[in-house]
Amino acid sequence: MVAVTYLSAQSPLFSPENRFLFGKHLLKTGHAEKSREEFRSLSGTTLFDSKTKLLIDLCGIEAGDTAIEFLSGANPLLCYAKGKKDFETNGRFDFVPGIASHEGGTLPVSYLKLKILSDIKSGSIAKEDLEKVYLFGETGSRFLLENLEKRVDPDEKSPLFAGILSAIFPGAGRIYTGDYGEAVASMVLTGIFGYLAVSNFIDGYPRSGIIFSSIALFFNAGNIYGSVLSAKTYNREAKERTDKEFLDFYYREKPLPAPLEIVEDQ
Amino acid sequence: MVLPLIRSLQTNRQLLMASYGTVILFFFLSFPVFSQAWQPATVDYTEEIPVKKKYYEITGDVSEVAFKLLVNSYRLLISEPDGDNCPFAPSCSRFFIESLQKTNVIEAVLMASDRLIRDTSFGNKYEHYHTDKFGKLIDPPSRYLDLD
Amino acid sequence: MAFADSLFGEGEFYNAFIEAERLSFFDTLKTHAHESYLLRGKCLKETGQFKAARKFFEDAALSTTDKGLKFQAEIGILKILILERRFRQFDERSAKLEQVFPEKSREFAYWKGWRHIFAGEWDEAKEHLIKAANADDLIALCDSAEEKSYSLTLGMIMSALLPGSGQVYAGEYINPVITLAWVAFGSWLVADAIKAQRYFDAFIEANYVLLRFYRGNLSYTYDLIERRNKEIKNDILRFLQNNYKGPKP
Repeated sequence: MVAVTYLSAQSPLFSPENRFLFGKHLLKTGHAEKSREEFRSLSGTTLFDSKTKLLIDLCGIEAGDTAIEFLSGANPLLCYAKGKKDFETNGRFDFVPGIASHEGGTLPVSYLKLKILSDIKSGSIAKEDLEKVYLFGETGSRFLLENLEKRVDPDEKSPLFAGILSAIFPGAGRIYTGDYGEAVASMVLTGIFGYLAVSNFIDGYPRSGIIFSSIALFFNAGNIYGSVLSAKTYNREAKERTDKEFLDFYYREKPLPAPLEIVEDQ
Repeated sequence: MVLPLIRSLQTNRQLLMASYGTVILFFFLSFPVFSQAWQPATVDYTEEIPVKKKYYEITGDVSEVAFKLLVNSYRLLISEPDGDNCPFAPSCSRFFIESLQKTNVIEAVLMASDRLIRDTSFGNKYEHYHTDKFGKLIDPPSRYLDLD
Repeated sequence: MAFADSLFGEGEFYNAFIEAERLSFFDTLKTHAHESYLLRGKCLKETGQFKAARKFFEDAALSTTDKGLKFQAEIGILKILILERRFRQFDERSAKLEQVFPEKSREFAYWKGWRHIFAGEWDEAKEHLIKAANADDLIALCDSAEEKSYSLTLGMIMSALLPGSGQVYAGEYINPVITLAWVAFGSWLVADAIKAQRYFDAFIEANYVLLRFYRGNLSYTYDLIERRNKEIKNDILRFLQNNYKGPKP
């Protein structure tokens, strides 16, 4: 094993230039830790310059490290990389002022776009930033504005109204929230046992009448309670749908460049 | 007295819960599959069999024993002969017990009634629920708590 | 490549994967493409990442014109499909491969035998293993499993005719008695309601008591026999995994 390792290390594949190239490839394909090892191995060579150190720090951010190894945490590209990573992991990031701009190069524009995306996702965006949504192109800006509108003015159902409807007529509240299957089930169960209760009392079977009344009451109470829950669930699912549409857009359109792309452009 | 008793009953059964935080799950799924620390996987040839309904051990004080006997009797006399026709996980009786542990008697009864209505409902249930590895619709009580 | 292979041999699968990836990255003429894909596929398989492993095995098969090497890569894919229990995909793929590699029919028969063993289909497994070479041990295991297994059809017919009898056939004794009692009670309720000309009550009692427990009886019988047969299958699979010395998925 040692001999094989030694002989391999002499191979041209392990030359500093090739390690640098392979390191970038590993970073692109999601092997941040291994990428960092490749860049670190360049220590003591001429290739271990500021660009390599920047790449090592980028690898650290991708790998989820909190500490920056070489450059300052205020470095604009590292701020962007960390912000993008945090946004993709948690849905928000700590905005650092002074970097974002709608002109001046890929990095400032990308950082501004990141801020706009994060603000839209949280449902609250400043007017001057909203005006810059054109940076996402015609389709992108239209989608983002619609998504923002859904967050600010969501399509909600009133739990109280649903409960009142179901109290008046079993299942009506569920029809209001769009749960038609459950609406029919509520009507049928409450109706059947209600009918059985009444018919048994009329026919002189009070014991059966009491049993069926209790069951009817049980299902009617569940019908009202369930309608309220159904409205609340509808509201939660509407919010989740909005979030999912946002994510689909983000991963389909890829509006933000990877930090490595920005490094290679510079 | 009943509620602390019920809360004290713990089972080892882990429920597969569909994450309503599809946000986070979606983000992780978007990254390349490869993890940074690969460990050899001991592949298991055997197929997982759904866990059979367990009966509680009859231990504890009088009220605990009484409750456990009641639940065991329900399982033996009603739940098992009724077969496994509940499309949900957990089953309706399990749902009721977990609701009791998390809320109060009245709310648990209302939740159980709603669950029975949903169990009987027509139409495509798969629109609103995720399924576990045995094909059951995942519907734990926690799905209906903290909705405000 | 030797370095990557040695890492694989040492059990350092991630490092082996990276070194194979390195070779592939610089191999612009694709001279080592097959070996690199194959090794990466093996690393992923060893770490349980079956879906990704299959992709690399497929690339390995496509990146060589040597029929022997192609065949080995395809067998790698079939083994993963067995482990993943993707039986339909296995059947489709092996049917296509048999036309490409007609001379390897005995080897295909062997892996088809394994596929059916994983599915608990003992008759079909035996049918294929008989055509394969050196599979006598597996055939004997299939025979013993077949003897111990319960017939689902027989159990269901018994339960349909006499509620609970299918469960007794499968070795359950308490639940059938309770089931029979419920069905009898339901029948009495319905008969009583009909006698009193309360037809709607009879309909509800038939649906919620009699038929519910009758259907429950059938469902319980089905689940019970399936469970028993799965337990038998798992015993066989556990034995094969830990003790069988021949080629395994």
